[in-house]
Amino acid sequence: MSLARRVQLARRVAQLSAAGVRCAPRFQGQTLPGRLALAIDPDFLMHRRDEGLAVRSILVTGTNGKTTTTALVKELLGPNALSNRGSNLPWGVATVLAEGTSRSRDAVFEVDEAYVPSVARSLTPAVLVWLNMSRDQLDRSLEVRRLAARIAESATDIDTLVANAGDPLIVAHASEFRRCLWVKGPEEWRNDALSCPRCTSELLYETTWRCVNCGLHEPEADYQVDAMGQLSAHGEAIALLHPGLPGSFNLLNASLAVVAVAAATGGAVEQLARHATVTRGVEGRFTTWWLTGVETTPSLTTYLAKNPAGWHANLAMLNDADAELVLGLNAKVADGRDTSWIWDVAFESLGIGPVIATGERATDLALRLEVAGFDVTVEASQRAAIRLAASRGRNRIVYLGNYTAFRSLIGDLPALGAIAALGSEVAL
Amino acid sequence: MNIKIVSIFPDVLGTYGDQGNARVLEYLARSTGATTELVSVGINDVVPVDGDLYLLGGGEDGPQALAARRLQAGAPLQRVVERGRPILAICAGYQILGRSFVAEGKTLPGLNILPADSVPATRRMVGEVLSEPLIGIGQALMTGFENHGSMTVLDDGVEPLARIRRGSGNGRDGYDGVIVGSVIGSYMHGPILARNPGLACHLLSCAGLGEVQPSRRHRQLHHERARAQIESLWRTVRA
Ligand SMILES: [Zn+2]
Repeated sequence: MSLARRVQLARRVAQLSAAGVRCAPRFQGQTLPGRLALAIDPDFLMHRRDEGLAVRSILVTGTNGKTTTTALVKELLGPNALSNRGSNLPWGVATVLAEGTSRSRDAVFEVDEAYVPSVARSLTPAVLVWLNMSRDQLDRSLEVRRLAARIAESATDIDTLVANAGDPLIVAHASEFRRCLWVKGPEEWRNDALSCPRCTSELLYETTWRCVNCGLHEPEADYQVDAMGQLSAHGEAIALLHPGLPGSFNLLNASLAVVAVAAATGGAVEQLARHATVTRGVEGRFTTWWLTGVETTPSLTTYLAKNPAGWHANLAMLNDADAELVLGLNAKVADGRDTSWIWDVAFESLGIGPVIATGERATDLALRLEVAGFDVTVEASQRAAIRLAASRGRNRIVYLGNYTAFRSLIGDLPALGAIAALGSEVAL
Repeated sequence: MNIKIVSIFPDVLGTYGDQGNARVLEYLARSTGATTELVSVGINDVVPVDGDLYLLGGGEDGPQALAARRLQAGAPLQRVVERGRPILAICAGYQILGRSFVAEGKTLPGLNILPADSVPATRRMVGEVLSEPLIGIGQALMTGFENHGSMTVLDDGVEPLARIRRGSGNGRDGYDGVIVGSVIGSYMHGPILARNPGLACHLLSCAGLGEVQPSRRHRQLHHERARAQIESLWRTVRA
C-alpha cells in the first residue's frame, strides 16, 4: 500500500471508529480511534503535517495541572482550536487529529511527561508549556529526575519553552531549548527538589533559589504573578488575572497559558490575560454541585489531586472552609499502586476536625488522618460517604479525591441528583 | 518518660513517604503517656547522637549519594550503633548503611554498619510485598510496598528481617532486609511502620518504652493489607 493511501486509510478508520464509539463510554471514545490510526500508520501524527493539515500546536506537560492549563489555553485559542481532555497519550492526540477538520489551525494538547519527545517530534509544536516536576506515581513511571531529562530530549523540536522558573528540575534541563520564557508563581512545592538536580549539592531558597555548589540558579522571570493575580512583566504590572479557579497554583497555570498563547500566536500578553478564564469546572475539577437527590440539598465542591504536591495545594485552599470534609483514596494502576505518599501530605497543618475517609484505601487514609489528630469516620462507599456528610448538619460538603476515586465519584453524582451549580463562582 | 526520635535527612531521603514512620512512632509513644521529641535533621544540619531511635528513608540516586557523604563526616551513626540505639533504615537508607551501594552508575562507599553490598538488579522491583518476619513482633505476616532498582547481598550468616512470600525484598536471596544488633534494614515502604504495628511497637520497646499497644485502626490496616495480599497470592497460585 502506498504511503498516501495508508495515511488516508488510517484517518478514515479512525473517523469511522470515532463515530462508532460515540455511544461507548466517553474515555474509550477518546483513545480508540487514535489507537487504530496509529496501528495502521505509526507515523500518523507526523503524516498529518505532510498532508497540509498542519496545526500550530501548544503542548502542555508537567506533573500537576495539565488538564486545567490545557483548558485555559483552549479558551484563549478560541472555539475552533483542537484539544484533548484528559487522554494525554499519543493515541489521545491522534484521536483528536483524526477528527479535526481543515478549519482547525490551532491545537493544544496535554501530553504525558514520558511521551513529550515522541509527540513533539511528530508535531514540531510552537510552544511547550512545562508546568512542574513533582513526584507522581513513582511505582509506574520513571523517577522524576530521569523523566525531566527525557522531556528535555524534545528541545530541538520546539520553538519556545514556556516554563515555571521556580522548579529547579525544569531549569536544570532547559539549557537545550532555543528560546525560554520563564514565569514565576506565588509559591512553589519544594519537597521533591531539595538537592540540586545537576550536582546533588543543597539548594538554598531565599526570594529565589540557587545551588550552593554548581551555580544552577533560578532564571530571571520574564513574567511573574503574585497571590492576588497581579501579572507583571520584568517587574512592571501589566494585567490582573481571573482564572475562575481557586488556588495560587491556578494563577501560575493561567499565567503560563497566557504567555504560551502569546508566544505561539504573536498576541499581546496584556490582552490575552483578560480572557484567561475557565468559566466552568474542568471535567468536574473545582466544580460546585447542588445535590437535589439528598434531603437537605447540600452543595458539594469536588477537587481532584493525584500526589502530595496536589493534595498539599488543594488542602491549603480548604483550610478554613466551613464544610464537611470527605477525602477519597484509591490505588488503581492509574493512581499508582503505592499509597505511601499520603504520609508526605501535611495534614497536621489543617484545622483538626471531623473528616470522612472513603475509597478503596480508606483505611490507609484513616490511619494517616488519625495520626494527624483528626476525628475520622471510614465509609468505603463514596456515595454513602457523601450522604453521611450531608446528614451531619452543615450544608456544604467539600470532596478531595485522587484520580480514579474522583472519577468514580463524578460517575456517582447522578445518583445523588447532582446539578452543577449555575452562575456560581467556585465556592472557595 | 521522653523519647527522642531522630529522622535523618527527610528533606532528601523523604521521597517515598517514609517520614510516616516517624509520625507513627510519635503517635504510638504518646498513646502510652510518654512525651516525644521528633528531630528532623536537615541535610545541612549536624546529626545528634543522643537520640533514642533513628530513622532513614528512601530517596533517589542523587540525594542518596549526598546523604551518604554527609553521614560519613564525623560518623554519627556509628556512634549511635555503639550506644545500642535502634536504627530503622528503608530502601536507599538501608543501602547506604552497607559497605557499598550504586548510585547513578557509580559504586560508592557506604557507612559500613551493615555487612552487605547493594548492586544494580537487571530489573526494577516494584510492587506489594508479603513476608514473614524472622523476629518476634507479634505478627505472623508483614506487608509493604517496594520500589527499588538495586538488590542487596548480605554476607553469609547475616540475619535477614523477613522471608519473602510475595515480591522481591533483597532481590535474590528470598528474604527482605536485615537485622544486625539494634539496626534493622528493609525495602518496605508503605510506610513500613504504618503497615506493621508490631514492628513499630518492637522499635519503641528497644528504645526503652516497655510494652506498647497499637491502636484499633493500626491493627485494622495491617489486617486489611495482609488479607488483600494473601487473597491476591492465592489467586495467582490458582491461575
Ligand atoms: Zn548544583
